[in-house]
Amino acid sequence: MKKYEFHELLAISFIALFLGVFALFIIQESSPDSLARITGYAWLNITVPTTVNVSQANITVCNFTLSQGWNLVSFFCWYKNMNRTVALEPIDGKYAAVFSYDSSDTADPWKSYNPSLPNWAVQDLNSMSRQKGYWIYMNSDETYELVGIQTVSNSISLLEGWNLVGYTSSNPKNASDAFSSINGSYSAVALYDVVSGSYLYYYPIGGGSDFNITQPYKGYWINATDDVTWVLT
Amino acid sequence: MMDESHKDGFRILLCLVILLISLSAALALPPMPTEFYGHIRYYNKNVTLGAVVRAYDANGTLCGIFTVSKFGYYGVLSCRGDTPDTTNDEGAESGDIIEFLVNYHNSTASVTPAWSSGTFRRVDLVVPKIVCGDGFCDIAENCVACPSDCGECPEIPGGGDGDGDGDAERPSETPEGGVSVSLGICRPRWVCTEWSVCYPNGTQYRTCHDENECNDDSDKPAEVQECNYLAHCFDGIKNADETGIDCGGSCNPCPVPVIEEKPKPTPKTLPIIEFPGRICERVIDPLNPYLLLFIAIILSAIFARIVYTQQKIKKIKADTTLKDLEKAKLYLGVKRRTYLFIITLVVLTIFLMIYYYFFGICRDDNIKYLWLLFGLLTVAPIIIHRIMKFFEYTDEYKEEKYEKLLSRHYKNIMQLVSIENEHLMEIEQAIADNIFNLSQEGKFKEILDKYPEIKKIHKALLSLYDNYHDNKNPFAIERDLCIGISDLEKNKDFLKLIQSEPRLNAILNSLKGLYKHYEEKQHLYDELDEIEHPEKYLKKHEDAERQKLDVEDKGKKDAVKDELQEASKQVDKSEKSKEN
Repeated sequence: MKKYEFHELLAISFIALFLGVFALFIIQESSPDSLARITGYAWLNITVPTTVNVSQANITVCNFTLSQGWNLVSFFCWYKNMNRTVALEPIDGKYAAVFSYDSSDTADPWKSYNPSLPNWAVQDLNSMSRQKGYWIYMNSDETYELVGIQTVSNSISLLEGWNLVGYTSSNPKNASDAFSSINGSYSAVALYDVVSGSYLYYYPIGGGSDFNITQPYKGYWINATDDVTWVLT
Repeated sequence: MMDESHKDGFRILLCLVILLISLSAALALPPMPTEFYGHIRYYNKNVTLGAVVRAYDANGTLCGIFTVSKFGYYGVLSCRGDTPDTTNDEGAESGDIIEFLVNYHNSTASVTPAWSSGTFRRVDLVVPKIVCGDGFCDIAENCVACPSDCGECPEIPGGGDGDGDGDAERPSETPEGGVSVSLGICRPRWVCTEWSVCYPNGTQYRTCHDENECNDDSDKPAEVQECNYLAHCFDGIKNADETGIDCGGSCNPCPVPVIEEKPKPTPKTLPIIEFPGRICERVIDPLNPYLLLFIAIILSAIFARIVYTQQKIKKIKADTTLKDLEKAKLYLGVKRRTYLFIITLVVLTIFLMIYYYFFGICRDDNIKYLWLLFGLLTVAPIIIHRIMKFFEYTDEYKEEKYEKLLSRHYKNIMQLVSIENEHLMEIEQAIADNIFNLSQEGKFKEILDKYPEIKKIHKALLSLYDNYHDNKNPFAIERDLCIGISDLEKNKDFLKLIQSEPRLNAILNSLKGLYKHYEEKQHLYDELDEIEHPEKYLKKHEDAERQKLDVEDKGKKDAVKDELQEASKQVDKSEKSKEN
């Protein structure tokens, strides 16, 4: 009888091991990098672990003109996490540098990419996201056009202090509505005006704001007074 | 003196000023950094991996740090800027000269490393810091700029290098008369091929390579340049005064006017799964209520099955009508089915979830692949059942194991027989030698002639030796030997004789001792025969059992018969006594 039980346990262990390896293989294969390597096509843009929650998204087109010089922008048609080369392909050869600001990395918050640097220079801006804002230096006025996706709801984690974030909606909104989910947890929002070459500010209290409408394609500096999540619907 | 209204106005103004100051302090945005990168050398060697480069602004504030991850290079090193209007010094300000320390050693920069927000600057570094007067002829030092380190300039007819251009790459003579090698930054030495012919697109090409292999393309000569292509009427392109490709103008007239249409540029498209009207992005949410409900149902089913199994096992244990073996069989059967149920359920759940993930989400054509799901759901239980069966303890497995045991037993008996034979060989050899020795004596020769059985025995003993040596079973010879010994034992004359001849008596006793050995060996051979022909012995055992039963039945019948006869006798007796 003992022998029988041992064999049963062995069978269960074998099956569990097989299933575990199989599941890992599938998850590994479904990671965007692996699939992109195999198929050259990064359509399964997911990260491990994977379970089930579907967030519906619509096809959308980003179409925006970037001015010569510095632009503080974001693109709602991007994925949460996408390859830099794919994201910047529409303006390939037409930009000189890109900067982003990661407030969670206190030691080195600025990440940058310059396409003209030699190969040995280690550049730290490798992935891009619709949830982040980017400084892009354009060599000339160029149109950025990309067919991508737009999700209905987006949440962005903000840390206390300045956060450079993206505007994930394709529609302009009243600033008070756009930032309603973080009311009481931020003191100011700034955007960069290309024409004047200066920042414009929005203050939730006290008035004196330079703008009251949030626009797509803009990158926003949000000064959070607390760690909070900004949900833009 | 201010009146009250003036005081109020002043207070309001003061409050506004304070508010503005506090707001401006809070609203100061972090400026973009300056990104530094370049070669980094320790004397004339590349700095090793893991070296730490630190950048300090003019106030000595650390503005950036970088750990060397490529041999001989650093960067990109982000040197933070100072957030304006704040009291803290977060980093450099515009125009600050940045100082670089490599593993806390001062360094010399190839260019002035000025800080400027949002720029990338190549600054090559050399460690240690170049100091004129340290006795070492470093980069940017020569006999003109630093004779104390590099020595006085030699007088060369025609002026030599004493032009004071600071060219440190040219070797200079040291005070000892040797040649000092310039140290520090690697200067590329470009060698280019000849320019190619001028192509129709108005460019010509060449290739250049750096003989010093500095891996620095900053000063690389141009490899492409414009040129004047001489157009003609058969170069396959529309140029000069041509109205079409190689036609019109000064060339032959074009047969049909060519209208060139440029394809309309299409916007880049993100690689995505496209469906009419929607795109799906897989997002993880382990707290999805439907998922939790599904898992809860599966776990409940497993739990219910375990409870049912426990109840069933209790019933089996409590059933007194069943024998132990039957109970054990039922118990194992229930357990096996439970394992099968749980494993099958888990596997099917995993298959369902995988299918749902790949075909349920983000696909409108999931029905198209239902065959795959049904296939998996059908095949999985069969495979699992087969696997369980494979590991089950069956009659075949039992037989196989029994066969193995028998085989081992057979080998062990053969080993015992072999040992027994060796032992017998020794004894029989000793007896044969004794007989032979006796036969050499005149007195005993007559005796041996008188008893030919002894000669036969001697002959048998010798032939036995050969048989044992060849691993044979000399059963017939052993039987003859035993008969010979028995005959001797029965011979009264011989028995009398051996009483007066102790050596003959000893030989007879030794021969009698062989009986026991032969008997034991025969038992071993019987066992071997039983293993080789189990059916024969099975039948024999069955016959013996039947006989035993028959005897028992007969005994019982006889007993009953006796009882009946006794009873009838007593009845007759009582009847007779009544009659009397």
